[in-house]
Amino acid sequence: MNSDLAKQFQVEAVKTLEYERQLWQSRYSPCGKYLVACAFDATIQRWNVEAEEPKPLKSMNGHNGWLQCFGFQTSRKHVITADSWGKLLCRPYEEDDPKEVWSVEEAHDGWIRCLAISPNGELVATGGNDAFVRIWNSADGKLVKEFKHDQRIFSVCFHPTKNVLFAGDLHGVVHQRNLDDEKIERTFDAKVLYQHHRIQECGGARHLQTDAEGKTLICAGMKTPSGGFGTGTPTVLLFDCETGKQTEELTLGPNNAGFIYDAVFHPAGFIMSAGGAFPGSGQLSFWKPGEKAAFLSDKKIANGRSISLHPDGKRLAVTISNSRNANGRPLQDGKYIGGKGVIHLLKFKAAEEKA
Amino acid sequence: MNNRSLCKPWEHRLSRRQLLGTAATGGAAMGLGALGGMLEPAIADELKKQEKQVIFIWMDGGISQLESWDPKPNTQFGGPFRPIPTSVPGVQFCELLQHTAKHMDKLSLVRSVRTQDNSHSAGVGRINRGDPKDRGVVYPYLGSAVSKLMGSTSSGLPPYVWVKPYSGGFKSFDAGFLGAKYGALALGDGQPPDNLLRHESISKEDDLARNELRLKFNRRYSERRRKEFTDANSYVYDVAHTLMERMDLFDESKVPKRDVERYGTHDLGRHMLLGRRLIEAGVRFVKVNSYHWDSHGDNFNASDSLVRQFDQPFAALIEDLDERGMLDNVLVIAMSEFGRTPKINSHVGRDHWPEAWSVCMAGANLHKGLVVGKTNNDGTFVDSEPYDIGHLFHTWFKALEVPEEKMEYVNNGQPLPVANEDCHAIKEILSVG
Amino acid sequence: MSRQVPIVGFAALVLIVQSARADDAMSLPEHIDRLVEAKFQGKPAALTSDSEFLRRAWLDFAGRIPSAEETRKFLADKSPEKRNALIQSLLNSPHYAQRMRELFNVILMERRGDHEEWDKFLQTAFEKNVAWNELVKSILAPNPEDENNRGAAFFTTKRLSKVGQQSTDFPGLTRDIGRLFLGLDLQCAQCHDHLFVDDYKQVEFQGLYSVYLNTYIRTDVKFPAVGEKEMRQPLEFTSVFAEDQNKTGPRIPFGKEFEIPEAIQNKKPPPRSKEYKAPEFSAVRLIADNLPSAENRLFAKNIANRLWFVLMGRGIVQPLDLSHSDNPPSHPELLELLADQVIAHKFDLKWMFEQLALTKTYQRSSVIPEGQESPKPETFQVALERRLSAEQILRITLQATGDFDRLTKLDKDGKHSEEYTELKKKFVDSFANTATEPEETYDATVKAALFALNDGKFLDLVVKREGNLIDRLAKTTDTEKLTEELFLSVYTRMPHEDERSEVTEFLAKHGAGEKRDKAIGQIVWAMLASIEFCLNH
Repeated sequence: MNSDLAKQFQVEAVKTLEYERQLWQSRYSPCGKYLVACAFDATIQRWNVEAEEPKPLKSMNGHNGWLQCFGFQTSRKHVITADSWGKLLCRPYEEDDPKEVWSVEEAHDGWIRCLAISPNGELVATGGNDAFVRIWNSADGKLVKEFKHDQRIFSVCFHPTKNVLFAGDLHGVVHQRNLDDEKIERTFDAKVLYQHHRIQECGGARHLQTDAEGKTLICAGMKTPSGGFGTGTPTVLLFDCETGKQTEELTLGPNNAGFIYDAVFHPAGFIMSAGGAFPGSGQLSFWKPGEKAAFLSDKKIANGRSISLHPDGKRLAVTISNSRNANGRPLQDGKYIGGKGVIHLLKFKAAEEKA
Repeated sequence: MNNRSLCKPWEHRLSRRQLLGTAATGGAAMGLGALGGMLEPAIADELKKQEKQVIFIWMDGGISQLESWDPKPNTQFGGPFRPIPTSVPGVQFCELLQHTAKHMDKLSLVRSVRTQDNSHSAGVGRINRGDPKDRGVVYPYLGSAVSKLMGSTSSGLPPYVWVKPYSGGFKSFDAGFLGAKYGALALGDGQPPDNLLRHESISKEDDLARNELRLKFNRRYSERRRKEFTDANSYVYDVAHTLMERMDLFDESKVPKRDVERYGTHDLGRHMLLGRRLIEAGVRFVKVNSYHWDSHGDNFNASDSLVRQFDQPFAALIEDLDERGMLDNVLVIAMSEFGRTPKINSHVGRDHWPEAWSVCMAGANLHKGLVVGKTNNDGTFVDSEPYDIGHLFHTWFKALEVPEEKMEYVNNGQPLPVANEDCHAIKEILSVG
Repeated sequence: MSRQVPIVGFAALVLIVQSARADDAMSLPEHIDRLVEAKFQGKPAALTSDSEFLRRAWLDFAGRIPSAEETRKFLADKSPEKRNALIQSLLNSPHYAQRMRELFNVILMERRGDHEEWDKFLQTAFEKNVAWNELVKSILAPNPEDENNRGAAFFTTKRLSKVGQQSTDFPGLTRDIGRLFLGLDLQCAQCHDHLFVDDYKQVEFQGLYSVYLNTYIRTDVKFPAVGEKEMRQPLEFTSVFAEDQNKTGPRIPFGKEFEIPEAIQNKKPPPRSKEYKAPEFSAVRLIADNLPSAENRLFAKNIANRLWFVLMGRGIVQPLDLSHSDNPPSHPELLELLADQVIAHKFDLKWMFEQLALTKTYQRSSVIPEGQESPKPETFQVALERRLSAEQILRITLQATGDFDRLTKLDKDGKHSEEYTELKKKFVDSFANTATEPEETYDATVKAALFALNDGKFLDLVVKREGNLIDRLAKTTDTEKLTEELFLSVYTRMPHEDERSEVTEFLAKHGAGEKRDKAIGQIVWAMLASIEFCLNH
């Protein structure tokens, strides 16, 4: 059924990396030498992945609560990290014991949920629970602009070629804002990703991403939550950036399977996504827009939190959570054990054959 | 086979119906109920002020203690939220309780609650009944217990009113062996019970006239007969009339706009506000119920949404009761059937955790601004003397000044302690002996 | 307390009963009265007035009240045999079967729900005066081939149906069979020997449970029908307190255990077939054949006790389902006598009702004698007032207000009008207990009070309408006559003097001119809402 892509882009496991705490995301650095991950314990974990055996670097601290998002400033080789207590922090990511370049202690009132770096590397955009989108100078951390929205901001994403920022909120409202005149140019309707279910506000535009040309905008999350846990069907929406119209909606898993937390374009034109809700549910999916179903669904890679394509295009890092749905009983050696973070390092089979 | 799962000890009902017989003979509930209409308003108000009452906020499913009363910031299980200072130096709440934090000086918090049941199906009943020892009877829920032990206040209003989402009506389930009479009058979504409005064809004068006649007939009938049934019948008509007189309680348009804003327009806000008004009107025990607190999935976004819905009206409630000088006599309790696991599952959720959780209280004979007990550093277990629900029941009955001799139901000869006799009141929290 | 013999001193009591029975001159009602009177403490109540007796008997055996005309006639009748004659005529009227259907529906189903086929089964059974043991046999093993009988399966299928996400309540079904047919609530003996009822052993529960664990609701037919899986091995069970393993086959509590034949134990399961086939070895059948029988003393005592309860307002064993040595009967000899007689008369319910109704005990007034304190209920020396079912209250309300014929008229399909169905639902909602709660005592509720006070449909019954009570009374200009008609219609008795003056005063005060009809309605309302009307006294 699915194009030639299915033959061309199969993956195989290379290795798994583990961290003692759960991880939110891992990303390859733009230079391709490092894999950087942020964790539930507010630390940054790094591995040098040049050699076959990844080599861990020192943990980077300095944050509080959770670290859920970060971005790379390519030209200066900085990583800019944002935590759930509102702090924004810029450091070089290559150094063994990196010193702070700049920081903003209260970049937001509370939880910073998303962060993006502009294509030219000059700006950092953050969005938070305080419903603010803030734009910072990546060189010195000075506030450049700020925009108040109606709801918590869950996702931000720069247009790859224009001075435009997309920001998505809890209610599934995605504003496209021109950063020159600061006006909202367009609003994408992703409200299907939000539901007031029973007494709870569920869902949100959890993730935004465009393709390399900025023609298509991915908006990911879940829809129609049912049952007691506010969990719905993992869903990805695609919008045409020119018209603002939704072009596709793909369901990537059964009802109740939860969120798509991350979705990125592969240069070959398909979308790679990771997600899941109930422990052991969710899948790694590869899906070509226009086709009715994913051409690859790997359910062994469940509970995905992030997916990162190496700059060489041959490798993938998929972060998942390993924390079974149990109450922590029985104790192990008298200890109450929490969940772990796992990163699946994968490679494309086809890519290797070609090489 | 494992029979344990089949055993439903709360269905044991030795002599339940025997007791029903005696329940109908009246007692405190009836005497006070009948008294209501005859008192001078000023005296009634004075009496009302001194009467102990309860407002019980029940978050069904389990509020996370870590995202509310007992934050463990920057620990493995601490979650994303910030701790915030409260009005009591040294005591911190999760930031989701930003309004309530300003009133910690009026609250009594127990952070060392350890209970026995990990499931909703059994846990809800066990907690609400105080987890008594199995004596083969279905114990009453707290509201029914208080109705039985203390009866209506001098207001004559039904002693146990339950404000809840969804359906209302007269719910006998909570009463257990005490019998339907001690069940709850449930106001579904705050709506009045059926047939509360005096029918349009009946004027107030008509109503008085027909009831006067009804009472005459009843009196003559019961002159030389057993009094139980007539008394029970009179009681329910008295309660019905008292309720009819208080239609204003169900008229939201009469509520000051400022209150609506302070409590919030969401269900729990509206229902807590109605709860306060019912307490002011003199209902002995008001249960305000919220459902769907079972955040197995996406717990932190769920808590972000849910805990704030509790925080805003709860802070307003404490503020109002305090301002009106009512905290001296109104016992406030906010709780669930258990807490939630420190462990965060792959669903970013928290599961059920009866091992270490918190119950927040205020008012009636409780010390103010006090935190009792603690959990260990990462919040997994209690790290001081653990208190079970039985300890809390003893504490509440003490706080309500239920006399020692009433601390036992007598079920047709079978003595039944009103609270688990292996537990005791938490002394350090009580300002009375 | 003896652990082997659940019935205290049974052997000794039989002797007493037998010696008493030797007195041929004494009728059963006299014998019953003698045993009851032997335990009187102080003066008993006088016998009822004719009108109180009339109302009581009508409610008990016809589920309704007599019309004002019938009441007048009975009161005027000078025959000394008129009470006996009334009992006879009520027991033989068509109302009897309807009343019994409603009564036993509430006793057996405890408001779990209704089913046409079940109603038909009960109605037919009481029309034919089917013996109690046969009726119970049909309930325990219904015959799906018999259209009048198959509805009996509803007793079981309703209990086997799942509620929400709960698993099938096999323990509940087992327990109800013990409670309703043997007077034993074995629930607590499910998981361990009963904690405070020494007699109740876990095996008593498990033996019956083993049978019903293999039942299910058949879905291959439209009517209620119970399927049974063949029981090939005894049920293993463990006490939650003691770890020892036990086994039981099908077993009548405190009775026989049936062995599962070896051939069955070794039998290979037959291939699955779409068509339902009853098992070769039917444990359900064994229970149905052996539990409701003359040999099962508990079965006989249970129905004797329950019939006594129905007419006297309190069981000789009370609660009705807690027959055990720590909860002895108030009148042990009486219970044995009644059980003997029930057996001797082949479980003929109508005969037993008649015998009980003929007693002085039944015919005592509920008025406490002058100068006496309220006696203990278990002495039966003053009649105990009894709860009326929602069905009784509905019917007598409509009879009293003269709306009965209008509202209960059937349409051409033999169905009730929507108006009546709605009204009936309101009455059931207001006066019945919630599902699974036995209706054994009078529970005053705020719900019922508000219904009477404010429900539009209820109040509409006291508004003047062509031919209804208010209309009849409004046309009566003589207040004396009006009052008589009013009291005969609603209370089934003549008014007292002071009641006559109350009515006169009320009409004078509230019923001037145009307001008269309404004032009459108000008086009728006050009577309908009064305790005298709402009880069987």
